[in-house]
Amino acid sequence: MTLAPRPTVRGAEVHLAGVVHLYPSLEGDVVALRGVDLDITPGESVALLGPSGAGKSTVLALLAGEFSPSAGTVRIDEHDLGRLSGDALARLRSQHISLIVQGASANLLLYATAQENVWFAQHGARRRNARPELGPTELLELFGVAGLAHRRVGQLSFGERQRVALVAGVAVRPRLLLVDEPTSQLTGVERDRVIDTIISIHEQLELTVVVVTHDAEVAARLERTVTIRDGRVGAEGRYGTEYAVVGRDGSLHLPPDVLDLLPPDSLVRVIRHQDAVELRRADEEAP
Amino acid sequence: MAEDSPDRVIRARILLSAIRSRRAASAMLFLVAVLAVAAAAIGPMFLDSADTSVLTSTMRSAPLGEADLSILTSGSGAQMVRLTSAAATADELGAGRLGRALLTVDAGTRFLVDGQQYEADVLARSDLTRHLALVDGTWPVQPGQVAISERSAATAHLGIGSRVQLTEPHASTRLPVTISALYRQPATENDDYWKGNDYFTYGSAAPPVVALDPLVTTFSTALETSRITSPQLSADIAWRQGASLAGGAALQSTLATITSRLASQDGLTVTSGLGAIVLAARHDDGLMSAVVGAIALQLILLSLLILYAVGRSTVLDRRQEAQFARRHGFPRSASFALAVGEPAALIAAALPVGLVAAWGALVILNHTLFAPGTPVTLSGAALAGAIAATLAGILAMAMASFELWRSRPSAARQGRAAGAAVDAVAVALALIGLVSLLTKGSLDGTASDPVASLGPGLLALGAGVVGLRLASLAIAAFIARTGESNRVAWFLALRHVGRRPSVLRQLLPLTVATAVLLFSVGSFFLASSNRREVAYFSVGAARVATLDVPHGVDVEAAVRRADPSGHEAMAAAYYSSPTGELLAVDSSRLASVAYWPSSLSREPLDVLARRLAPRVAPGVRFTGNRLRLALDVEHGTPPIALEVNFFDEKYQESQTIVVGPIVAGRHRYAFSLSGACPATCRLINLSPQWANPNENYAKPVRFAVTAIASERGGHWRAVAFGVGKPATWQAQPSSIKVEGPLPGEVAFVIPGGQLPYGGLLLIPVDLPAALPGIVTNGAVRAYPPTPPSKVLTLEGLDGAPLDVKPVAEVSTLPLIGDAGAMVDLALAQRAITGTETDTTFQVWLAPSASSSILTRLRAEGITVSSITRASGRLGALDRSGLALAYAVALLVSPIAMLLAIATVVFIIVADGRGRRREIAALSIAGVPARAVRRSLALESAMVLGVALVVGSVVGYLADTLALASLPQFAAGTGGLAISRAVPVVPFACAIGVLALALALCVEITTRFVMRAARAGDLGETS
Repeated sequence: MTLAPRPTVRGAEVHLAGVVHLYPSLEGDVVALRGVDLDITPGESVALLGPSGAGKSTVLALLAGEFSPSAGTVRIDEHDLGRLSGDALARLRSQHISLIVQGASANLLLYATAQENVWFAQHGARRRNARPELGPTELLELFGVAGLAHRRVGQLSFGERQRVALVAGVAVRPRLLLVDEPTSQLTGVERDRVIDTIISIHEQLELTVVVVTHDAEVAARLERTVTIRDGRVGAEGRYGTEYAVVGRDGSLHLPPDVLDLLPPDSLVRVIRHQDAVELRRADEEAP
Repeated sequence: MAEDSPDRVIRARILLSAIRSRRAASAMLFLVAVLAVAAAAIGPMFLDSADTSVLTSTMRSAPLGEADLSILTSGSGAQMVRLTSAAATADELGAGRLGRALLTVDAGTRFLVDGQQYEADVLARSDLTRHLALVDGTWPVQPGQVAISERSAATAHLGIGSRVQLTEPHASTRLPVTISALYRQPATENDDYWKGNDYFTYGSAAPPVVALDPLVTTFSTALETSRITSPQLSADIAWRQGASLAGGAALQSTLATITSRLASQDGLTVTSGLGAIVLAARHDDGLMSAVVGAIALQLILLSLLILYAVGRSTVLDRRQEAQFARRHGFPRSASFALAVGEPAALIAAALPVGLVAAWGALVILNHTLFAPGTPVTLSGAALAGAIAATLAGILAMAMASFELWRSRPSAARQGRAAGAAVDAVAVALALIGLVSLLTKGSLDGTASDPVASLGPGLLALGAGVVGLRLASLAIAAFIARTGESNRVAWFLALRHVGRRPSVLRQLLPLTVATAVLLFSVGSFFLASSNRREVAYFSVGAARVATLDVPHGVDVEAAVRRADPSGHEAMAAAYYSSPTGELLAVDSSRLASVAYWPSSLSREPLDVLARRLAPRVAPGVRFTGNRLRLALDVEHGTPPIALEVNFFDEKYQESQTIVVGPIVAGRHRYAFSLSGACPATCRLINLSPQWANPNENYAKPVRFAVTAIASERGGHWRAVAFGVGKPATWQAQPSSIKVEGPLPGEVAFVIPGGQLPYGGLLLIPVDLPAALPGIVTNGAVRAYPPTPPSKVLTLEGLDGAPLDVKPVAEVSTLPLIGDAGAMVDLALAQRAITGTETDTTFQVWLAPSASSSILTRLRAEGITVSSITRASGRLGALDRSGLALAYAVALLVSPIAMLLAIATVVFIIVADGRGRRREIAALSIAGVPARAVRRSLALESAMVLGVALVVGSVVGYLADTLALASLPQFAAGTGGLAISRAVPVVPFACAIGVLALALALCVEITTRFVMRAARAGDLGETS
């Protein structure tokens, strides 16, 4: 089963500008994001990397419209998520944005079959008179899990559940697929199959994919990696090469491996050359 | 799933899978919904059946024949034809609600046999021969044939074939009849056939006439008596069993139609007590409906509260689906349908089951609760109630699931604020309700008001919320104190409960259910105990037999002989008059036999009973044909005429014999008693007067009685007359001086100037000046005692004025109620000077009394005409509307309680399932399993204990507050002050049972949670 490309439908364009997000708590607000700037082009596949607590999942949740940013803009195509009403956001989710949260079971009805889960995932769109292009059976077949169609999800392995969750996530052929830690607690063949499914989804549906992961192998299979560090975009990798990212305010987040040369609070002189910029520590310069 | 399966089929399949996957929660939800629906439906269904039952019971407990339609007339055969036709018309208009007419012709006649005049009714009645035992001969079929009772035949020396000429004092003709049969009179006339009519009045006529049982004959012969008298014709038509199914209004309407149609017919009188009976039933019914309505309302609200609690506890299970739906952009309506659809489906499925359950429960309880034959039907109101409860249940679930279908999830702070707001609203509503009840006087205990039964629910709601909040604070305080504690179980349990106030709040249904259950227990047992008290008190004793006592039989002596033990039976007599009721009892047995609530009098009954019968002289009593007086009159005294007044106790007649002239000196005077004293006579007084009315002797006259003797069978026997004893005689007027006591004589000094006028009385003292009596407040109010003697004047057993001196004042008396007096029977009978024609004689029997007592009484010639049993009266009261209302509350509230307990167990277990990781972490941290188990048990005990304590306190307060105002008797208690106190023993037992049940719950929940923890695995990251 192959899916005919849609001439006018591509992946969604994602634009985050100066996104700050605070989580309220009894002990005071916790800063999760300190000004994230990120643009993702339509159809791109991006892995969000970074240490735990860096803010990766918060970025994902903001992209899914789970909550509004405390400051800054989150835009999916022409939609500024922070300004959308609840209904408009729900409409967007029903057809264009799909979020798969960490833990496959959290994305599925464990008592229902895989096929029923896919049908259920299409129900929101169906209720909005948007008929999905493919039915549950076709979708499961398209992504290689047709054999699981009639099995109750609760009886599947964690890897199988994750693959079914991914299929259910794209049941309405969204333009943006957001996946949080798809391979956590998976190893070996199951992990590889999940990664293959993500890649397959990206290739066949031509949608934009953003995956939060700690798994370097997942990141390596995607087109671009974005590292979130201390609530900011710290680095980007493209085609195997790691880049530091200059923020819109001119700030530069240096990769950790140069911090032994430029420890925090170092005085640095920025020397501009014709086609390059040199950073020189003040204490190394002649007086 | 076939690809082309319709959406609704797939939806249904997913729904069923969801329900199946949450079996326990679904079953609990379904069960609660069934109860809510059943509670809503059972109210109207119960009231429908109870209406019929109350009417039926009221009709059945009415005096025999009271509810019947009676058509009365008098006259000959032509009038009988009219009567028969009227009965047929009534039957037609009754549209099947009336039974067959019982026609009666009853004519009073007399006849002479060997110079003795006898009195006997001629009686013809439908089916009469089937209700009498034929002893000899054949039942009358030919004109002029009659049957006579065996005992009447013996008395009048008649037999089969004897002929008598019937007549009447004013009749000019005679009706000859021939005796064709001997029959035996019925054992009792207190049944549906005889309807309590007293046809068998053998031995009751005043002398010289002797009363016999009726002469039973055919209608034609009985109607022949119209030649000598005017026979009474009647048609008694009973309402059919089940006529009450049509309801009181239909019965009243039918009765009005029949009465108006027949009243226009000449000479017919239509009577029926049905109207009053229906009115009484409706009053009872109204009170019952109000109480049941209030109870049902509380149960429905409690069910909804439980439903809400179950809904809240299942939200966690369904949250994942809601998030799934939200992430996939389900429209609001679809999210709502998803959140509420599953519980709504279960609640909808509970509708028919709840209806059937309500119907089934009533069918099963039909025989226990309702009068036999009461139908249980599914009415429109029941259906409407069930549908309303279903919709309310769905609404409750929608509210409980709010966080599942709202567009954005709420913060914890918002949840706490919402909880506080809901609690505040509940407390405010409860307060407003309570204040409203208090200000309207529904709870002040001054008058009964069915609305008072709303009090417990309101109090439980308000106090329950406040109590649970306070318990949270108390637990928080304990948490602070145990910060350094090394008691691991307490440490963990306190923190778990204290930091989840929502768990405590979910105990509210259990608290309310506990309070409502305790109130139901309190109201049922209080009302039940009061009904028993009223039933026994209104009857007087466990059994009271009404007696037909032949002349000359001393009922008190007969009863004493029949019950030599002295504590099983007591003779009594009562006389009813416009001035009140007089109850005369054998005071020596009163305390052992009569029912007397201890709260009725300050002093115990045995003390009061002793005061009723002070020591008095026995009086002057004699038997014989002649009486002889030995008199000593002062020399020089002119001749005196002496009237001797005495009372024939057998025939209850006063006799006067004039003796004289009494001349000066010591002489004996013998005179005939004119056959008046074959049994016992009692000397009432001696009344001296000058033999010569013109005598002008003015000196004081000394007049002494030195001996009295009576002659019987040719022998003179001395009669005791109190000689030598003080205060055995008195005289009127007080100017006459009684000398002594003197040896050998009773002497009077009479002012000579008073003798010409007569009216002087020398009276043997055999009675106190006024009979000591226990009097009711009502009698004292109606007939205030005259100072300075403080004596009430009532009517004695013969209807003559009787002075009663109160020895105690009570609100009411057994049998006679709140307007009368109780005196000693022997003294009351000694006080009579006339016939006790309207006095009812009874024997009161203690619960342990042997049935042989009545047999022995019958052997003395006493007929037992009816027996009233306190248990029967209690049975009737137990079928009253209000009794039904409290019975229903007692039956339903434990079910609600069980459901509330099950809900709490469910909530704790559901909460425990989510704590597998926590328990696993505790194990990893080295906390012993036993400590974890203890901590879980302590947690459960803490939350359930809080519910039990708060619920019990609230229940007690509710009982104290509401029991004082609850209606318990639709028709009043006859002045008996009933208890309003919380019945301590049942109340404490109920709390004990609840505590045991909750302890069991603690064990169950702990086991479940521990087992779930052992079975659990860490699984994938949540």
